[in-house]
Amino acid sequence: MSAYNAFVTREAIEGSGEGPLAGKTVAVKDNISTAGVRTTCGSAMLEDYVPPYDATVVQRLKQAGATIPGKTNMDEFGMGTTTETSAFGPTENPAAEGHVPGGSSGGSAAAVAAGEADLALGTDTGGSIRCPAAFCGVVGIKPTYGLVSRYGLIAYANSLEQIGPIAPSVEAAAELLDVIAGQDDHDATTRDFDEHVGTGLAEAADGDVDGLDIGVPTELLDGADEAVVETFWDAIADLEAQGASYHEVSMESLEHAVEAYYVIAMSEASSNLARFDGVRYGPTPEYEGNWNEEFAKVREEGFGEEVKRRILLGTYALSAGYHDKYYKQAQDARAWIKQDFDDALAEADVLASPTMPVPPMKRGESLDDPLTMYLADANTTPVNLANLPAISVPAGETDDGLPVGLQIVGPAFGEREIIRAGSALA
Amino acid sequence: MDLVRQERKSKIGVCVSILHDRSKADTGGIEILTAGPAFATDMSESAVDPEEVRHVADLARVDLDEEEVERFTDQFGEILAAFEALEEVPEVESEADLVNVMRPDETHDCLSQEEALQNAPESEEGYFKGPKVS
Repeated sequence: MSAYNAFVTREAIEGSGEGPLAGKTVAVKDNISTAGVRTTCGSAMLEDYVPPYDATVVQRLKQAGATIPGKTNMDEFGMGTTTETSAFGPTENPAAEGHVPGGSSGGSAAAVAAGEADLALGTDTGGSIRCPAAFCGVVGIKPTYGLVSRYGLIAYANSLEQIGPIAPSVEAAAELLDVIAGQDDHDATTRDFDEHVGTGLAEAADGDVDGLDIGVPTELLDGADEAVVETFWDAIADLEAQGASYHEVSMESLEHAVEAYYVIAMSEASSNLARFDGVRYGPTPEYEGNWNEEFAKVREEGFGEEVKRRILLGTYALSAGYHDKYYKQAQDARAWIKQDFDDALAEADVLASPTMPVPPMKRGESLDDPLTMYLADANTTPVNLANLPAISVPAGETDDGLPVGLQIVGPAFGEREIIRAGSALA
Repeated sequence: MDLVRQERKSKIGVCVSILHDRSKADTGGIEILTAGPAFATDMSESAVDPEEVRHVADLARVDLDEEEVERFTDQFGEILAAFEALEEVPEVESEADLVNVMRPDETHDCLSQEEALQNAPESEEGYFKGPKVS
């Protein structure tokens, strides 16, 4: 175990040696399949699981010449905001020791922040790339839904999640996104990169924000920590000094985003995680009872508490009599949020907010209070519900020296706009 | 975290509880949870009882120990009460501009039987081996 426990498995996977990422190390989150190298999802359930094939993004990294130094720690199955729910122990925050690195891609962000990898891949279902990027003082991009193939990503909530880059600078993140983005026959939700965005994303990181119109949704500042809000406005002032302008905008629907997100994510999780039955993979059971009894026993042993909590709440939300009350209402909220974003982005080039409403929490203080942890995702979850792209860039630090991230949201396939805007700060 | 906590309180301030009429009507082995009339309840009273947590755990095929049942009972009451805020969401006309993506149905290379079985704790003659069904 290294100082930060950023990796679950350290095993180098060599790439082709030639290409845009030649000589670079790219750490890969441990829910992304690597052929022949175990892929645990941070769970005891998959402690010994060795994928027989590579995820599409891993193939693309290898073709681009990158070396993968290992698989990074994460909240179990991506379910957490602190990287403390991992069965392989929590990850330390290299930028703010004693504090959580954020989650669920905390190992990826910590590896980049500590210089243990040049770059990293994370996955973002409700903020899992942007939150740890913000907490560790690095850059993270959650791409537009459909820009990056999810083939080989072990699913948590398919309708929300995307794989994306974590890097020390916006330009480096853009270079990595360039490599992994694009249509894939193995993922029918992917779209053509050239047609929708256009390769050469790193060129957009030119820092030119002259004339950029930024909308600031007031709902994402209400209730945020004072020191975070102060740092946020300093960063906006910095952008203004470089020629950008901002206006405030109200998006009422965002007040319901966290609830809608959790209902949808938990519902999808309860279905996705039904595959972990101890038969095709998982801990070796000693069969005594019947299928259902053994199934339930393996899952009691293999899953941590947060995963059980989400499976049960998802099962509850989808059960007859409650489906309309929770799941259908959450889908309505999702449509409303999407509409609100469309309206706000018709009046602005990009939208900006603090990435997280709070600075990094102290380690060990969040696990007993799941609802408080869920509410910390208030600013990131709306973006997944609307399928939009967003970037988190370092905005500065609080007076206590804790990193604060600025989130910039763009229109669908507006990766160029958010990269350009973000590159004015990092 | 103070401000987030505050926000949470206001959300839980509108705590609503549901009566669960666990209909045991014969539904071919599938039990149905039915939403009963909602009524306002005291904050100290959980909206979920332990029996209900056990029942959902049974549906989801996850065994729980007694301490987990206890914790989940409290937490689920709190979390589901927060989800109640979704009742304020208006009905939205959404016209998703989605298209079906089709591909020709052609055979192609896939995992070998051996590869597909390599992570199974037990297999026999090329098959996954599991516990008896009943």
